[in-house]
Amino acid sequence: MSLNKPTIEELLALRDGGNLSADRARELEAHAPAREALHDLREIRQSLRELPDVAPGPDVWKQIRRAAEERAAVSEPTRPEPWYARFPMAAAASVFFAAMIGVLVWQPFENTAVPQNGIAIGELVNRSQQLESQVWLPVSNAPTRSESALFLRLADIDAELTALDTRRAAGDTLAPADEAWRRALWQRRVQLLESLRTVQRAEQPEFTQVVY
Amino acid sequence: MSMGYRLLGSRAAAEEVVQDVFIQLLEHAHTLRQPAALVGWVRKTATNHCLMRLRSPWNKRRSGDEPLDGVDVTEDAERMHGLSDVERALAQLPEQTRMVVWLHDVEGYTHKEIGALMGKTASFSKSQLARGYSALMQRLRGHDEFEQADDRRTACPT
Repeated sequence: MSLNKPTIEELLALRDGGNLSADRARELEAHAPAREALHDLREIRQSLRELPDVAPGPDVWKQIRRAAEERAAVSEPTRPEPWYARFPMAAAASVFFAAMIGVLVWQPFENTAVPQNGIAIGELVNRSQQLESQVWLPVSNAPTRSESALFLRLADIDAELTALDTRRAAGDTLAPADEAWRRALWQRRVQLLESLRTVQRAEQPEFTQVVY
Repeated sequence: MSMGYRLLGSRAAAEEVVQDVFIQLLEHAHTLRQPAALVGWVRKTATNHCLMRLRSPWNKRRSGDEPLDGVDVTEDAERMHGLSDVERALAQLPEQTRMVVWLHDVEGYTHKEIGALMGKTASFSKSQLARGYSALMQRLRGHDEFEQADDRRTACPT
């Protein structure tokens, strides 16, 4: 049987169900060398898919953690320096002025009020509690690396929030800058818990199967 | 990691991709509405990081690697030692060809998607796949009788 020499494009189109006329496909399938080549193309593709997984070295996870912490230091809301620390002379003058006219410069700050630029702390706390009920702590199972990284970040935030709450519980009125910082920490906590929930759900077997 | 290693031909570069993807994951996972979308998100992000590295000389220098042309990979005897035949043949392909073969046949991207990812056309992807398989067939099966359509057009202009 005479046959125009098949091209690699035609064989690949036949293998992948690409654009090839039915006549030409029949011609190729009836041609022994073309059939053999088609078989080889399929085998090579299978071999590529069966190449062993390559695992990253053990240092990679340490690097990821370090890099995440460095990024967090830059991207986390930076704690603003209180104005009285930046302008000590102005602070002294204000205190003197307040004392002279008997007016309190420092108004108590109501932390449940809605801040100018976002959600109230109370709402963030509620959201955080809701999310906590939706994620599970790695008590019995070993946490995955992504979970570990997220839990570590959460632990850092909780430590800062605890320090602020301890001051409040002791009757210390927090400065507006501290309240803003507290709100930013709660907001970040909610985001991290949302990340954790997403990661935990995604790591369940039904989500980790990759279908080709 | 496996995809990065096969596409970039370097463990160090692949580990950097893992690191970049993971950090992005930690920062953006909360924005994903459906957990099922995470696997796809990771694959797409990793593919984009690999492409960025292949395109950017700065990223290549950051990994401490030489440019990953097919020739350089071929000459890296230490890396080639111990690889399976198919892995060695894949590593010897030029980087764009290797990328197309891997994305199409292993990751399951279509020619249209690969073309869009690489800033080229679907035809470019098809032609690179054919070029890649031509070389793989020759190296792994000793086939040299199947030519590419491009070669045929060049040899027999009508």
